Amino acid sequence: MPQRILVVDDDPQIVRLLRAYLEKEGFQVFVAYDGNMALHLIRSERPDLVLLDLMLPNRDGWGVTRVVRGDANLAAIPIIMLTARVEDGDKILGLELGADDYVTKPFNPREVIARVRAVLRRVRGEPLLPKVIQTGPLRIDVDRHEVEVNGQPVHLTPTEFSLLRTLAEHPGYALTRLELIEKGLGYSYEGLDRTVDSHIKNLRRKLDQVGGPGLGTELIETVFGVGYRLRPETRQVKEGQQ
Amino acid sequence: MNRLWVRLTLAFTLITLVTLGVVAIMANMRAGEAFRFYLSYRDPWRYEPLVQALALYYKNHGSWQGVEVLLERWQEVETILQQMTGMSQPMVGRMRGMTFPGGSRVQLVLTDATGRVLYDRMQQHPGRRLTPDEAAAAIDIEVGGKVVGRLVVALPIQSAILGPIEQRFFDRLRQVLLAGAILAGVLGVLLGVAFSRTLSAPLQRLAVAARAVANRDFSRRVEVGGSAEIAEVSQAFNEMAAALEQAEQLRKNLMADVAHELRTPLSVLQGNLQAILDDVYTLDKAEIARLYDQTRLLARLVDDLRELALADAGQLHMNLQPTDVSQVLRSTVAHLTPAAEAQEVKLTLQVPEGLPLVHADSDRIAQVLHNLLVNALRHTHAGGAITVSAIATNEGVEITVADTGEGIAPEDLPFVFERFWRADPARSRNEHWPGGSGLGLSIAQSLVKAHGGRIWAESTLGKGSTFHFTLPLANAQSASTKAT
Repeated sequence: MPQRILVVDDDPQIVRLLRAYLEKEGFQVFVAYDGNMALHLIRSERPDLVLLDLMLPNRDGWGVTRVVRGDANLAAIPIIMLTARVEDGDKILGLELGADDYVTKPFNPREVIARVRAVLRRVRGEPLLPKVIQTGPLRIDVDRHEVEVNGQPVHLTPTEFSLLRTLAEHPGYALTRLELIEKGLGYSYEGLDRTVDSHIKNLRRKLDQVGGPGLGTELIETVFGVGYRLRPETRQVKEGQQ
Repeated sequence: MNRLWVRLTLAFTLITLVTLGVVAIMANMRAGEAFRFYLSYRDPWRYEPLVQALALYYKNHGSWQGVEVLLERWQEVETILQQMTGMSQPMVGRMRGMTFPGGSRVQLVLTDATGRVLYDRMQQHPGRRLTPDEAAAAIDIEVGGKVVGRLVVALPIQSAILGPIEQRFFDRLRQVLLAGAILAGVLGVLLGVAFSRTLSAPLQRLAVAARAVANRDFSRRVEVGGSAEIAEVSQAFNEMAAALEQAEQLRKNLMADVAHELRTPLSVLQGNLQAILDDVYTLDKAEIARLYDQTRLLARLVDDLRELALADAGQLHMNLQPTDVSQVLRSTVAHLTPAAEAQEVKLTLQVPEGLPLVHADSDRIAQVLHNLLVNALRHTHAGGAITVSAIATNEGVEITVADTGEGIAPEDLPFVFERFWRADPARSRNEHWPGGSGLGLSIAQSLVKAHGGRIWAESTLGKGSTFHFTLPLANAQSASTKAT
């Protein structure tokens, strides 16, 4: 049975966007455009998680959170706040009221999905991030910075590992070169696109060396005109789960 | 050497030294003179025998007639006595160690009872009056208890009459003056340091505070105190710092608002684009159109912000000339009538004939009215009405935009012209007027102010809002030109 997510935002474009992503990820999605409608749906549908914008008509996000946390039947429902407000005070207030996480606009929808998954895992008492990511013959141990192909270790530079991990954290999604730089290399600078290409080239070569010719290109696909992605059939493995 | 306390100290010391020097010189001169005067006239009782002789003479003769002879004789006697240098004589008995060089004679002056000089041995000026010095030293000659004349006896005024004791007296006087000079000099330095410190300390504090402000510590203030000038500078400094602090706060608020307002269209743009890349959305024209709308919203926001910044800086280009405001109202209302009809809102214009000309830029006035009307349309539901009217007042022409919309809560009324303020905590959603920049009323306010007019709002929650603004008359343009 799919997990059920309530998306609350007064901007229909944002709702549409989040809904599309969540549904693609296999969630069942309900939507609300104001605070009272959100409370009504929370009570009637008991979603597994609420994605809640703060600036809402009728009753704002803080008001909704207060009511949910004050109701013993609803208090356990995790809430991720979503807002354009960036002041620290707002974040602290949100978190103090019992929000489980906080996403600021403009957001990356994939990141919102990742946060949704993380909060759901945390609620079920699982570790926040998968420690081991496996796709086909590739196995990435995030904590130990170890990569194996068919059980054989692959020796990567920190940059290469970081790029591979970033790709693996968004399995099946193409990441642009700029995104890879920002997320994988930790800085933002235009004109470094080709640097990413050379790192990817090295990464593929090392995967080929261990796993046989062609494996690198097979695992890390080039999406023409966009960037790179890790082969979609990735599975996230935590011993005994999924 | 350039420091204030050094300069002040030097000035103090210099003044002290100059004063003391003058005092010393004057004292030295005058004291010698006074001392000689004292010496020359002292001990008048020594001449008691002469006084008695003169009294007897007067008694015998009944007048001073022929007294010169007696006085001349007295001189002779005295000269002889001097030559004998008998120090025991009553007349010179007290003048120990003093010698009269040969030829030097004692001055004798005799006056009658009225003070007129009868006999003056040295100057031979009978008939003159006594000098104040002589008068002070004069001895009365009494006959039968009645003053009949006055006698002045003076030793020759010569430095020679100063003996070692008297010399010593002058030495001491000089020493005292020198000690006084040194003491005064030290006091001058101390006073200079203390005084200049109190004078320069607030200046130093000001300098420190000014540097702090330069380093963007706008909350820095200085203590207002000290002399009136320093207090005034401190006061002015504090006012400057307060103005800077306020400007900084405004800037921060504006930056926060801008960042906030840019975030919403940006997140839609970014998210939708990513969704297309991720194949979550299909790539089609409807999708592109949504993105395009968001970029237009962003562009309008940037334009509006620029306009506001220019108006705030007073750099808005205004083409002010006598303008028939009714014409502007008519064309703007006509422009928005189709939109109002589509929304089923009744838009009417009430302009009396013969409105006076106003001193205004017609394009800017159209923009003000447009912003007010869009605001009214955004908050007025189907079936409502919006009325635009104009009347002539003392101030000029007052234009009113009244709607029957949602109205504004009294506590919100003061904020309606603030940037990015919205009646609804969430962005107002109105299918006909999506995504305003939140700057329309702020811009209207800035433009009206740039014309030298006023703008204000009245509202009853649930019944509707009324916005008024005034424009100055064309013939009162000098005042409004200044205002722009």
